[in-house]
Amino acid sequence: MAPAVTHAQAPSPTPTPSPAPPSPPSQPQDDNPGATSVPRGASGSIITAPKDQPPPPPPAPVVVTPPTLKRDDGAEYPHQAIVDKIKDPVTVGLILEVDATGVVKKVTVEAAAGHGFDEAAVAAAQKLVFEPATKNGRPIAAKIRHKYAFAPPPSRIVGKVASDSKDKGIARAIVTVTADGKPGDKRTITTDDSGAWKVEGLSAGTYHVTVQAQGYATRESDEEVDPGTEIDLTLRLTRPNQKPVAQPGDEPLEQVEVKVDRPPREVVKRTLDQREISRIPGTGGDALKSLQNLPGVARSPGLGGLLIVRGSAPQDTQVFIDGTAIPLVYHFGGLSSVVPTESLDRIDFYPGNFSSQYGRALGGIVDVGIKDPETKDKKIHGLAQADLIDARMLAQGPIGDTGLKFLVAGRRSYFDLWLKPVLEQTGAGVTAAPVYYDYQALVQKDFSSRQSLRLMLFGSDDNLKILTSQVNGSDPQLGGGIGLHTAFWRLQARYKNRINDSTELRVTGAVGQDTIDFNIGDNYLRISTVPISTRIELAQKLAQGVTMNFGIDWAYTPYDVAVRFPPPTRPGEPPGGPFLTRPPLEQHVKDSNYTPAFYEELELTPWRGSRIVPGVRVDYTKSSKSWDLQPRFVVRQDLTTGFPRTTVKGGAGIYSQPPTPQQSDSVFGNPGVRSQRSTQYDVGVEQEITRPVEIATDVYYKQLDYLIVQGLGNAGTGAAYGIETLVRWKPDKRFFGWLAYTIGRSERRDGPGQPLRETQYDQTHILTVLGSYRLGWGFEFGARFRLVSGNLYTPANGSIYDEGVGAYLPLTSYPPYNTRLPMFHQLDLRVDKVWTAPNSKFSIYADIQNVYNHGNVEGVSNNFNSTQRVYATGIPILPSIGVRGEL
Amino acid sequence: MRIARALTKVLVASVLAGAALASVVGTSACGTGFDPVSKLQGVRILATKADKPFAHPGDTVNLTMLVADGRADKTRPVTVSWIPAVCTNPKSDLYYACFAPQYGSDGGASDASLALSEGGTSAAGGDAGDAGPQAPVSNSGAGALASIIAKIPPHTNLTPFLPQGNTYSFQVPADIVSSHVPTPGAARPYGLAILFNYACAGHLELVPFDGSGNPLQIPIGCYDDFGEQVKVDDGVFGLLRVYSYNDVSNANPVIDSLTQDDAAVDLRAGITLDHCTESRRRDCKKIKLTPVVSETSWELNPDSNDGQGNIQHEEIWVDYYSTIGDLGDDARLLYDVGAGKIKKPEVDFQAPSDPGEGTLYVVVHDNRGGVEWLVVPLHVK
Repeated sequence: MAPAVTHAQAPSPTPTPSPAPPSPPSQPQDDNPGATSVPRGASGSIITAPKDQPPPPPPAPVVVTPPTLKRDDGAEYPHQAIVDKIKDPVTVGLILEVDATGVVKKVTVEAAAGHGFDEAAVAAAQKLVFEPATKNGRPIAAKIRHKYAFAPPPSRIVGKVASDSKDKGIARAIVTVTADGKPGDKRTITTDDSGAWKVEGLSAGTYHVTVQAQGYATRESDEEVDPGTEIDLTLRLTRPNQKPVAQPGDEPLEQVEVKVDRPPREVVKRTLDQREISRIPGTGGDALKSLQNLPGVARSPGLGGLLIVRGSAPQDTQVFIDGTAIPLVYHFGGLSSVVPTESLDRIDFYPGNFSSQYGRALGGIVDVGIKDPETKDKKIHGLAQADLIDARMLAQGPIGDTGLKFLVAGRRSYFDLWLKPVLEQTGAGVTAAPVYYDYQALVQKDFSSRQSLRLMLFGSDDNLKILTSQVNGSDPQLGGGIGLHTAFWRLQARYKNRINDSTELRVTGAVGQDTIDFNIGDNYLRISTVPISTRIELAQKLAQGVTMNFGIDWAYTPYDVAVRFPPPTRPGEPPGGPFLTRPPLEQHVKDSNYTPAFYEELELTPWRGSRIVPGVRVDYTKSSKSWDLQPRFVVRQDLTTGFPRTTVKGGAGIYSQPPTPQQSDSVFGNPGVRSQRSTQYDVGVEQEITRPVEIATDVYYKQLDYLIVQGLGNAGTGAAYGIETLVRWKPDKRFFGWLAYTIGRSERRDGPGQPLRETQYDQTHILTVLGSYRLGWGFEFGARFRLVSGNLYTPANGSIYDEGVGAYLPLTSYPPYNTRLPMFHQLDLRVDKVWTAPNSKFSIYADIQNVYNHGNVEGVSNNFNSTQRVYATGIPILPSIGVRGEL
Repeated sequence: MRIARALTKVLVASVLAGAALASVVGTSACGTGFDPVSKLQGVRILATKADKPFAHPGDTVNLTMLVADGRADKTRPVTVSWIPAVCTNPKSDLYYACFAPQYGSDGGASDASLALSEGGTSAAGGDAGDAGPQAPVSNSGAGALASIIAKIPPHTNLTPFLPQGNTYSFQVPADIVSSHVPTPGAARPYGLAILFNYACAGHLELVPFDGSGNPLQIPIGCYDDFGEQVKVDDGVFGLLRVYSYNDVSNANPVIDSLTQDDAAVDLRAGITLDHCTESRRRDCKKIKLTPVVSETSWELNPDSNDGQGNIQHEEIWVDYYSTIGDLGDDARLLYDVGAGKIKKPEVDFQAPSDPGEGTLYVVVHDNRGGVEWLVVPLHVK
């Protein structure tokens, strides 16, 4: 709690008029206290005679003295102003009516200042005691002007300096606290024997904290200090050229900074931090696979890496890297994500009802943050990691004394080394064995703690090319030469400037290229796009509790598409037969898509613990020449102050997704289609149970309209609804984990008169329980258990023989996806062991999927004429081992 | 040193784990236990050859069906019956639009052609029995089959009314191309005729639709003398698509010969080999069979390109079937559209454990409706 009492200045120090000179007695109390003829008191008081006083005899000389202040206890700085983070001095002008005994009988506020200042000034003024005004020596009542000037109460930083490897404090460390932009405003303190330190009397603002201790590397930190508050800051120092040596039971401790996060602008925002991302069992430490353990995200079959959010198709969820959209999430459809965990700072996941800053998606939003390079000891650091699939490296640090810092990272798979011979043994000619790589390189310049510029190049490439002499019995065209090359790169610039305490500007621009080159038999799909995008957001604090976010989300995408494929059938319609039974269609299009968007949001905090975010987003789509207006609204309210927090929240909004070039294509799509739309509703509650444990429940309903259906245009409708619950133990020194449960339904109707059917992405129950515990001695043990409804499939019963191609055409049941596979359940374990040594750290992990080797059913295999079927099971027990070294 | 030792252990463990993983994955990738499609144990249509795989409008197309009967009990003879309503240009070229009730009697409203042609003729031959030529009874048009079905009471015995035999002829409507709804993206205008037939060890009856709305319901069933639908090995319902173009034709591939371990096989005499005496099938002797198809059969496909302006060829592959023994693969690619001739297209064959007589069928397809086959006697001593 910030100090409640600061300075109360009474009477008003400014202006400070001179004592009233001898003058004629004042007129009877004047309604115009500001009149220049009215004498003024020493403290700025204006003396007027009460109205009921008889007029003085004109000729007699009158001597009037103003009331003299005898007692002033001062005004208390209002608590509401602290809550509202008022940083500037505030003056409250008052009119006091003082009776002939010197008692204040009435107080009137001249101009309301709000935030509790008026009430504080009035309360203080009512306690003032005056020597009454006199007229020719006789006490009289008087009306005077009085002012209270409130200065924001000082703040303080208290903290501790400790070693990185132990929690033991470091004595006699020198802590320097410098006000941002005021080099002269510097405080230097020495820690006591326990490593504790504090700096008091700080005005609100940003402070640069530097800690130096003999034998340790210098540690720096920037802290934003609000008025009348206390920041508890623990800084851990590392010995230079020496990594902390782990001792039995002595886990490396992470930087712990006690701060309250800003409430999100969305109803649901789930953020995973580095430790959670890298240690969730069964994911192989893969960043984006960890998302599949959160509520609202369906289980992806097998090794697949599909992001199925609240019953939406994978392509309905957008993935961004620091605000720039990317076309691919996973290498080869699920082996690993296109950005290695080591390059990540955080993953923000919004399953629905997201802020107006995001658009063009009916599903969810994933925004991946690439971390800023670390320069804590002004040396270059790196790491290398290898497992059975790929190897990766990362280096980061400062670039000399230029003030620039860099990060480079790369990864390449090497399972082509063993897969190529395996494929060749089956008779396949392997031109290019499956291989993927990705890379990230960035340079950053921090001009100050408020302003930075970052340039980043990142990309990904997957390639596969084989020639198989085996023929697919059910579709002979799916043989011969098969090639798949997918790649993208982006050159991104990001500029952030917190211009002042009220204004912040964020600009991100990117240019890049996406490539898809797929061929099978004589069918192919070749797409090359050059997306250019810009995102500009200006956050402007308009008044206390009112912040406006205005943004431009602009994208221009020239594309070159060449396709040769059989005509697609619409959803819910049985396939027309093998590829080669229908003459393929060809299309070659060079065009561009232009999708500018503008959005504006207000963040309102009208009272304590509240956050109301009305917003609107407008998207234009060149292909349909249409605008989509999308009003959105989010509200959060803390029902309790302090611990344990209870928050209720809700939101509603409209979300549009423009047609893709394929969907509006004149050959393969539906020319003239407009954007698909969803209306999303979400209500929920968050409740802290203990300090690390919180439970959150959300009820969502997503109405889908204007869904694009092949051959029918915007004829589809649907809905997805459910309840998500997350019981989360936030990461602490030892443990993190959560229980996530979702019950939901996803339905579609492909057009008027068509049956309502469940989508292939419908999973009724999704339960994930996971946890990871640091055992000591560098060991960490984690487990994950999942229990999920089986996926839907379309059974086949019998067939027709296609005599032209020698293939049986299964007779599938109707409507499609009407039968559910058995329930999925699986236990995964992970063990990490870390060794630390001077200048280095070495770790290994074993990640074992499906520990009890349960034959989870992932699909159905039919015999050649679909008269017999058996379940096809997914991965058996699957161990994975990795090693990592860090310098 | 401590880290180096740990690293060594980890690398060793990684290699072992990789080997274990490969073995596990390899095990789990084993087959499903189904009999392969190449193993003939019932009544099977193997292919139907059109003398004009791509017909011109107005052409008469002669069809020949290859039917095999791999049943152990052949008490009930197999009859091939042709549905005389030739379905032309069904909606979206979907074969089930020809008979599914929801597509209407014209097989799909606006984009269906109701061109009527004078029907087809059929003649018996081959394994399907010796039913004599039938009088033409067909009309044609998309959904013509649906029209007929709608007029006939369920469970009517259709066999006496249907042309039967292994061959069939029909005339392509003269307007089959012009009446097809223009298809954006198609290389050139085309028309589609779909023929349905049934190889049945019994008689055919009309089967009522179940009202579920599922378009994939076969409207005709094969029944025995007791009015029960026969088992799946006693009948098969088939379809054949014949595409028509004004200006493109295609020839059936030509099989020059069949080699056994690189030596030409006398196709009349067939293949003679010893039965297998090994206790484990995988130890039985394998012979390598390869059909020889010359490059002249690998025709240019003027409508196929690689997306970079290079015209490609046809794809040619071979399907294998046998009534005895085991084939190592059901099908092999002979020519890829771009890469050309496949270097090792051979398939392994293992004799059965018991002596006997059988048949090997080698059916070569191209991806434009062309087909040719060999029927080779198998003598297992």
